[in-house]
Amino acid sequence: MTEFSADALSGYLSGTLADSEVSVDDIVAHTEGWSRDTVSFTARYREGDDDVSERLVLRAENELQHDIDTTSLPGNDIQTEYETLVASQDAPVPVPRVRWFDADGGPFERGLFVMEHLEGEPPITWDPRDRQDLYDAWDAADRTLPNQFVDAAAGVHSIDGSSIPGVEDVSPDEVVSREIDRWEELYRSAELKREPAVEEAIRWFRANEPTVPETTLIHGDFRIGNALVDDDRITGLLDWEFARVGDPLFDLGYASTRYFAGKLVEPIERPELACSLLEREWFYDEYERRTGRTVDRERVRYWRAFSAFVMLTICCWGANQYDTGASDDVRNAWFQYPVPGLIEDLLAIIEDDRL
Amino acid sequence: MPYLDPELILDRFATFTREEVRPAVTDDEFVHAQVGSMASTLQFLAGEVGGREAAVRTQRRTLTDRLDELEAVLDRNEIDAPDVRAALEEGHSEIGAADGSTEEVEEILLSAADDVLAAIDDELDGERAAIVRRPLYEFLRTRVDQQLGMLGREGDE
Repeated sequence: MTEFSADALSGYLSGTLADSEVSVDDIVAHTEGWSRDTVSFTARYREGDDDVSERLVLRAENELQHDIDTTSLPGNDIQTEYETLVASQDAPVPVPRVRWFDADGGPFERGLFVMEHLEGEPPITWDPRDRQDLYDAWDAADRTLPNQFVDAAAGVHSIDGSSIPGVEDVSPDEVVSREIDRWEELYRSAELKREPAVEEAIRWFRANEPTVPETTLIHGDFRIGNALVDDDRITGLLDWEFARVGDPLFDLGYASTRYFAGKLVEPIERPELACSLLEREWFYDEYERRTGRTVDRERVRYWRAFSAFVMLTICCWGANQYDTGASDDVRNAWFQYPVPGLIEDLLAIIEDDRL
Repeated sequence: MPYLDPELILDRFATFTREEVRPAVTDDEFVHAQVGSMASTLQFLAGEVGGREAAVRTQRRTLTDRLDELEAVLDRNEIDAPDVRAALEEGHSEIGAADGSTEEVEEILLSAADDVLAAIDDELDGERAAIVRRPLYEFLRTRVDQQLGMLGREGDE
């Protein structure tokens, strides 16, 4: 596959972004959204008598996503991700402005889309320094960042998911079993070892399916690590490839897992904070206040356990890709290491009911 | 344990370091030599990994003890659960006969534990299921604690 060099980007953008020749510099490869290949760059061109300079982001299928059947991937195909962003453009949630989708990708020979660059960095909750910044944001008197995080959740859930091309509408009475079926199938396809604790969790999921009163669009990977943060502002919510129609409380449970607060192997310092940013109860209370929805704590607990299973499945999927030789990305081999911590979290939640 | 063979990963890292990284370092002799040493060290480590043998031995002992305890719980509470007892007996028998590689023994332990847990789920309900599960959850916790210990955990959750 053609690399995202200045020459290749220039060749692709000349005639696409502008009629004139486009030069490209300051290319940055972004590792944070590594499930796809993402680069930002500055494009310069003439428009009439003016010199134009734009900072843009190109997000493309990676080699693996391009080569295999997309239905076997954990997330949505790239066109659906693009369409979800299109649907989010005018919603009360900050997202980058999208420019175009290209199914063939010109010289890059893979599906891609281009969007405008936003200021900010995604906090890495597994980095103790970023975690401390998040703790400070929670301890600050105005709680600007925690408030924006709640607003982002409410904003996502205000989007009409059923109208997005590629996103299937799912009714409330079948959404839970559909989620279990989908993730169990993926887990089975990537299972590294038959783990009795995971089997127990799957039995618990099936035996304790909650009643869901409504479905909305959910982000599916809703956490502070998928938000661009500039000072104390969220400038953009990224990585929409897991978006689907689901129980809105799924996103709350997902954001409440210890894994996304920064736990890998060692326990975290402030486990009561979702995403190391906001106390869970405050999060749920504020979400209720802003959306008018009731946050059923038992249902959030269910989705919190289920989210640990989802993440565990994605980890197994990555490690399986390495194990089978489908991927030589070292990070996929590393993906086995969060699994025991996720199993520990699963056990901690289901034990209350099972014992 | 955890999952992918550590020997396999170390071996591949060693190959990548030796064949890709080292030739790419062309302007610094010191770093070039360091990378060469790193590649051979990784190769040695690939052969040295053996900590999981002790971990699986501990898990085997724990599961055997917990299955005994589970049987005692069934007897003490006069719980008539023929499928659970059959899975228990089968588990004991398989664990007793396990004499393959560490990985094979580990898989037998996991399979035995899950078979018994699945039988409990199928045959018992409510409080009776809960008290019978407890010994096996001690095995599940032992396993995850050992996995996290091998990954370097020092603190308590």
